[in-house]
Amino acid sequence: MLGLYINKKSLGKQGVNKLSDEEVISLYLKSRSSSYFTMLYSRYSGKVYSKCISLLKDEQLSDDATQDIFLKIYLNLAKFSGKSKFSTWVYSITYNYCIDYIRRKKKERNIFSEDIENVGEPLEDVNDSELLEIEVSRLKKVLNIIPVGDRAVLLMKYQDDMSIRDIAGVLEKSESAIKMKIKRAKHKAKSSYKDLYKD
Amino acid sequence: MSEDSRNNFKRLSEEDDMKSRDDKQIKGSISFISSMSRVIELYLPGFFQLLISISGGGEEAKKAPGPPNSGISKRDNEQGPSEPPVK
Repeated sequence: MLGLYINKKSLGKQGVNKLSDEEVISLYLKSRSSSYFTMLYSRYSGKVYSKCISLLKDEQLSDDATQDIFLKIYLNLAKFSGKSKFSTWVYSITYNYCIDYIRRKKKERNIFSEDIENVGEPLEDVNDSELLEIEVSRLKKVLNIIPVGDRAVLLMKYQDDMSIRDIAGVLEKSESAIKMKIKRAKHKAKSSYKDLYKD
Repeated sequence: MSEDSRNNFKRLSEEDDMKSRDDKQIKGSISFISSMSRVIELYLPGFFQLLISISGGGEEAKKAPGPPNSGISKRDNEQGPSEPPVK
């Protein structure tokens, strides 16, 4: 486990918290000072943990996953190219980790393929605003009852602003397959919402 | 109204983030209190022993003679206090 403790003295008071992620990474790679990495950790650990919780549904597991994910980030930070935003990179690692875990442990190998291959009947388009404006506590319940694959793509798209290309990269699928997957996930979320709150 | 303000996915993320921070703080406080209670549990008897020693109690008090009747055994007292001693 990484010893990630905030060393406020070494961070200084010169508004380092206002630095962008990319600037912090650059400073870290130059100085190798752990305080810069600690800064990234404090910015993203909560978000990474909450994503792990929403996908893995287990606090202890999510705690361990967060530590493992930050260990991966720590070991690969020098490889971060800056082509995408740092947050996107962090979330990609997080989703990859959680999806791998679910595939490995729950043996749900096809959590992202069943709908992609199943073209079936055409679905009605669900407006983004219909999902985005669902009240927060209800949205949480809806996300909890839809399948993990659908939950993951909706979170990637609407919570983390990941592009279709980035999502396709994380899930190793084509962009058109991801578009279809998102469409189906939106449809499932809408019907689950209707089932839960018929009033 | 901006796009983000209508995006409850983002609000959900913020709420979860804050909740996880609160949870960590609570866990930290509980762990601190638990450590302190262990320290107190470990050192409190010693501390009281020290206080007793300072106030003149402890081992020396055990060696000191007891109150006048404390040495009377049940056997000595079998005849009872009402019978006068035989001369």
